[in-house]
Amino acid sequence: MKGATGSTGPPRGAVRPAPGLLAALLDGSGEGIVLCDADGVVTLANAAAVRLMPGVEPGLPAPAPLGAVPSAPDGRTVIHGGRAIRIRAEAVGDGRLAWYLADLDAAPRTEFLLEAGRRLSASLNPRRCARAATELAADFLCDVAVVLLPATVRRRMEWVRAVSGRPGPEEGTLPVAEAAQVPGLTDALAGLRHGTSGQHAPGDTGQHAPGGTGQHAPGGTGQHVPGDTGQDPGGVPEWLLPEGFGPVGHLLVLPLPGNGVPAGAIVLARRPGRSPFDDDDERMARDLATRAGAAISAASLFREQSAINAILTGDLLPPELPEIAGMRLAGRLRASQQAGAIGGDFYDVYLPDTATDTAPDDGIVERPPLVILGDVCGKGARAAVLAGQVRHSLRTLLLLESRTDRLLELLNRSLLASPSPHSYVTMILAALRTAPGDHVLVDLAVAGHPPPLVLRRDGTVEEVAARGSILGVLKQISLWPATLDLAPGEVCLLYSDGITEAFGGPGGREMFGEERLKAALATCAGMPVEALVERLEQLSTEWLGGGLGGGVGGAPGTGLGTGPQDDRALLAVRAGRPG
Amino acid sequence: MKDTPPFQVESLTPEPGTARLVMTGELDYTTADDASAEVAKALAAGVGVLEFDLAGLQFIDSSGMAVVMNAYIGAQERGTAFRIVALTPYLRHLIEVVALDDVLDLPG
Repeated sequence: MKGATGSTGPPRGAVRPAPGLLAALLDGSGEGIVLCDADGVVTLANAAAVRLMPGVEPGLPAPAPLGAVPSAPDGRTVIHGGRAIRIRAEAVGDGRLAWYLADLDAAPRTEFLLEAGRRLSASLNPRRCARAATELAADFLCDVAVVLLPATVRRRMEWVRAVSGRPGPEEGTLPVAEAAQVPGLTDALAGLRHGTSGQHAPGDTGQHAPGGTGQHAPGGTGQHVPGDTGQDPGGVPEWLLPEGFGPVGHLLVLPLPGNGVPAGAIVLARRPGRSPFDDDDERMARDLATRAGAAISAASLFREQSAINAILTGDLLPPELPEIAGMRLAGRLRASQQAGAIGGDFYDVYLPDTATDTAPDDGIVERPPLVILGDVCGKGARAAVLAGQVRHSLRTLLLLESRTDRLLELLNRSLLASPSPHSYVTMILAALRTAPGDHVLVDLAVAGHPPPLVLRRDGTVEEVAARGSILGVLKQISLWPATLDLAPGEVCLLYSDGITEAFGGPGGREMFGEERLKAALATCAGMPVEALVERLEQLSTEWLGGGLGGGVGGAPGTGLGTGPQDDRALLAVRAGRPG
Repeated sequence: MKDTPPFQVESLTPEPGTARLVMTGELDYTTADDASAEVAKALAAGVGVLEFDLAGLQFIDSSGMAVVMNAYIGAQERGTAFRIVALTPYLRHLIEVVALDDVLDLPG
């Protein structure tokens, strides 16, 4: 092309390329090229020029923007047909002008992609990602955008719809079967890519909906032009559009490619007055669909995993503590605030079997209420599952066995036989018997767990001399059980090592420790048992917060370098009536 | 707070057939996998004696204790002797809490 431009004019005497080759060369250029004669009549225009500037046609006067020659050597920007175009002119001799047209809409495309990335990455909620996608489409590409998410329950799919110039997307659900009413939507939802190669010929309304649901009126609406890969807008169902939108001029239906499975589909619609979706529009729409699909499928995966996590940790939720005559229970379980660090602290209460009409020889043992507190070694979902298994195993064993030492031996054997190796559990079993004078006798069996503390009426604190092997390590465990006599108002406290191993304090690096816990418990004499556990939990939380009090959640200083914050569990039994 | 020593495990051979893993820093659920990997390596090498030197541990949590118990079980399964040659008072206390002080070979 160089030889045909510049002030030297066309080369004389050089071999002229065949007109067909010249046209092909010109049409291959992304830049629009228009040649005008001295009278301003277009003598030649390449394909890009015709596309960029409607009205450019050989034999007709050049449209207005190609009138005055720009003074600046690099041209000027004009808006023509809603499109920003950079134009510059060069004299090519004999009063003729060559115009070069550069599409500035490539710049909005970059802006669009940046905006799309920003908005789509802002949420880990699939519906919010869908909302962002429809808003982006309605802002940049069309008048109405609808995203349909794959069916989840009861063969219904969720939809989200945004309309240009209207606030906030609308949402709803509709039966999956309705998708067949929108040309190309069933395919798009199945992840089939429509119109990728732009093979739609004029009048080809071909929707290849499987199952032969081909729904639209033959005879085409004549919307298709070569290169328009949009779907036939004929036969668009009412539910797709907002009320009062009127007819649809142009429709583009694209799949949202997900991670292995389709993440849904997007339907873009323009009013009849607007130009059809061209190649650039479709490219942008596909960019958007790709990004939206990735965002939605990532968000869906996250939602599923969160739901699974919630189920697993739900199993760790402590039970409501029941009323037991002659005593009072209170407990606190604070799960680790660190993501992925769900620990395995648990406590539970097993009341005696209440089935009164059991046959005398059914083997169900009679026993007093039992409280337990334990800790599974490790973190995360595995620990949560194991904690749940231990609680359920114990519930079953309690039907047949009431001796605490025997229960621990059975649990140990069950853990050793567990298919997942290295299942270690520490726990305390405390059987609660009422005794004359409002006393409570606590039969304690301790397996690898810090022994319980006792708060006497005079404020002294003792460590119970019960201990035993951790469960899941040894074939034969050793146990040194103990029975504790609580006078009215006295408290037996079970706790997990998350309390004593809480790192913090004034320097931020000190463990709360057993001595501080004992000292704290000593200050709780006479307190109702609910207030007692609340106070101890509060003290440990403040310790975690570096003694700053109130700075609870952040636990400054525990994030870097220090041991990770563990679960913390407390369970207290107070003998006698409240007050 | 930022001067916390990183967890490190060093494998020594005090005498032929003995692997001594010297662990320093914090042995918790973020570092337990590193420690376990070294234990597995030592056991797979077929040593006759596996030793832990834990005197340099600043902190150990239940996942760290699990490393010790895994090593005890793994060594027992292979007929390898396992002993802890050095440890901190706090770790000795933890071993007493889980009542493994009678089972583990601890320094006197």
